[in-house]
Amino acid sequence: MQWQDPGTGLNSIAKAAPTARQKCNPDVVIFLTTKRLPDTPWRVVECTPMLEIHDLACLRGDRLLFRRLGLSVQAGELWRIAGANGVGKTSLLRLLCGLATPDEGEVRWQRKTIQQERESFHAALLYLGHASALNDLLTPLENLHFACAAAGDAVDTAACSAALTRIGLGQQLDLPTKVLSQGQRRRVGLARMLLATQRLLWILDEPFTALDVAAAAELAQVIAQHAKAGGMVIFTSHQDADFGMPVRTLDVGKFGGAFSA
Amino acid sequence: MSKAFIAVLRRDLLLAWRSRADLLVALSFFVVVASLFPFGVGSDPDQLRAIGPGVVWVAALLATLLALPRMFSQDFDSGVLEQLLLSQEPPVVWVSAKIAAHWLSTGLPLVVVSPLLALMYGLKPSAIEVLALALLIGTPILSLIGAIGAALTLGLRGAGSLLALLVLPLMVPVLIFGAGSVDAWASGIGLRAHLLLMGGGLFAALALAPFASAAALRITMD
Amino acid sequence: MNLFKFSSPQTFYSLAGKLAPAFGVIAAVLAAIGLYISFFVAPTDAVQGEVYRIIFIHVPAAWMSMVIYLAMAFWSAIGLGLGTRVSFYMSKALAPTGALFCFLALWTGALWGRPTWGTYWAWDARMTSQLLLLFLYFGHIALTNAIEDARRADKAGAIIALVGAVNIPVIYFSVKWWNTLHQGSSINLTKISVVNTMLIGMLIMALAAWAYSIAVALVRVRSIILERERRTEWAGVEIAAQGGRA
Repeated sequence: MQWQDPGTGLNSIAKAAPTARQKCNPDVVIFLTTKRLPDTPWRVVECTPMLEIHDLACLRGDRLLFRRLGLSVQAGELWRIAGANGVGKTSLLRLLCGLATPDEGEVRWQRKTIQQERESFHAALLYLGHASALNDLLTPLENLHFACAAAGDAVDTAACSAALTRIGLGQQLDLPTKVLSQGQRRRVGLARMLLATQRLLWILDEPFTALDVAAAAELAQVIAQHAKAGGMVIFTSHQDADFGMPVRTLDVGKFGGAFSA
Repeated sequence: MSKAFIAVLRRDLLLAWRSRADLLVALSFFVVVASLFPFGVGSDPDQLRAIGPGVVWVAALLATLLALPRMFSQDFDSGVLEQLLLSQEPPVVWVSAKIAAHWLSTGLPLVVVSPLLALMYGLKPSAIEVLALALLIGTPILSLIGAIGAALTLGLRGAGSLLALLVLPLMVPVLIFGAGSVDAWASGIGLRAHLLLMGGGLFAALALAPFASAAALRITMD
Repeated sequence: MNLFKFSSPQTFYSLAGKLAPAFGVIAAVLAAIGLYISFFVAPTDAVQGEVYRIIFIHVPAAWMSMVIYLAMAFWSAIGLGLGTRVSFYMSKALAPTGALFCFLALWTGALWGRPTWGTYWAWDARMTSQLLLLFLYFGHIALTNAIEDARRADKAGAIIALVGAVNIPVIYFSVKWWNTLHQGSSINLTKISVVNTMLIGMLIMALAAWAYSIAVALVRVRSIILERERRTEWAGVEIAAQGGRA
């Protein structure tokens, strides 16, 4: 796969090529194939969505949370999943990650379902869930190092402690995690993001919760940077944050269950 | 061996070491349960020698059972299991690591302490060796079978007793051959058959149980 | 999806509705014939007298309890492999019947054991493995009932059914081994000289047990389907037609 800066003329080609359903992000164009288009000097393609959701439905017990939910996410996009409490935001994120199996529909990563492409999809994914995924008896440093190693990232301890120091946990490196405050725990997740910039897709469940103003601003900056570098970020949030770039919104409530038994 | 396997094994062993007080509780439970039997059946040395291997095995089984829910529950609550499921590695890799760590921290100590209990039951030194050897081969099977049950009952109400109901019947063969090996040795039949069967059981469990546990975890987390 | 026509809950629901009464009738007829042969045609045993006649219930029940566990494992494997919901429903529908037969086999075994062996319970290899099988049934039923999310319950039940099925031969073999090593109880299964009419009676009773199990499982699977599929349109209509509340 190859990334290219938006050059002159590229946008119009990219806009012409995709199929009707797909909308292109004008900032970034992805080249997946090298078919030469007639009448142009460009070896182009089409603008392919990296992550596609088709006709997704999710049931929780008797309640239909949402159905016919569709979305396509392209490189460089920032998506906020909106909706009231209990509307199924977290369920949607878990479906996107492949942690849960959809009752209907499918999630595709680079045109293949994430079940088919499990390994490459998970190699490109960073998911930070509602729970902090930290063990109380380990230090933040041990927790972070383990999280990276278990995910398959080759990150050494020095890089972990540098990331933790950068987000303001330099004093707490060797303390057990149980003495950390809620916000400090969240910051460990922030450090994980700093170490996972090579993972294209970030899915973040309520990343701003419990963060103070400074940390929230830093998080917004990290997220925006990732998107500008060609990554994708999908997150849920109740707070408004300034990313300095457009944020697309998906309201899960609009796909709400038409019936409940 | 894969990175994820080593990372999980190291972390779980480190965690076991940090919470060693909990492990001591399970170990004490093992000793207490085994010490209860003479109060129930009387202190006749011959009788105690006869029931000794079986008692130690049943106590080991119960102590393993007591420690089983801890195998996954902490990581389930804290969200670590979700992260592990999203690892590039197939789940069976890190599930195996978790089972291995669990056995090293709960099963192996039982094997180490068992000679002490065997002495209290008046077993001969050579019988004590046989018992410890049988436990060394058998307790990993208990952890492997137990992992399936632990994964299936994760997060349920009354998970502990449900777990017991699910896995104890499956553990009966291990109990039979484990305790039987001492009797077989004592009666002069020889150990070979028992140990071979238990070894075969261990390999079968090693080959199947991690996959079943991984499948169970995926279902539980779905 | 045409290949899996009957894996659609709706199709299977109506199919089960047609088949269940048929199997019910077959079961009743076979049981009547079988019981008649058992009690009136089959000769009195030379050694055991009339008591032996309990085998006409005992043996088919024991067979059935094992067959049903294997059937549950079979449906579970299909369900996990192909993702067909109906397979899980079948597995769930079979469990109580299997447990019932298992209990029946133990109970009649105890009743038979008292006059012939002089004891209700012996740690005999067959009885012990039958008892362990009953525990497996209990475990399966308890697990599927403890899990609130129906989908998780189905799949978890399937896993434990498969694990149990793999273990049944191991359990049986080890219990037999254990039994031959510990010659504590001096009980031998008293041999009955089986004559043809006895065998025929037993086979007819076994077939009756099969038909009964199928009929009951189908009736049960119908209510499971309605319960699980109540969100769907057709099930809603069906429930309303039966005077229920969707």
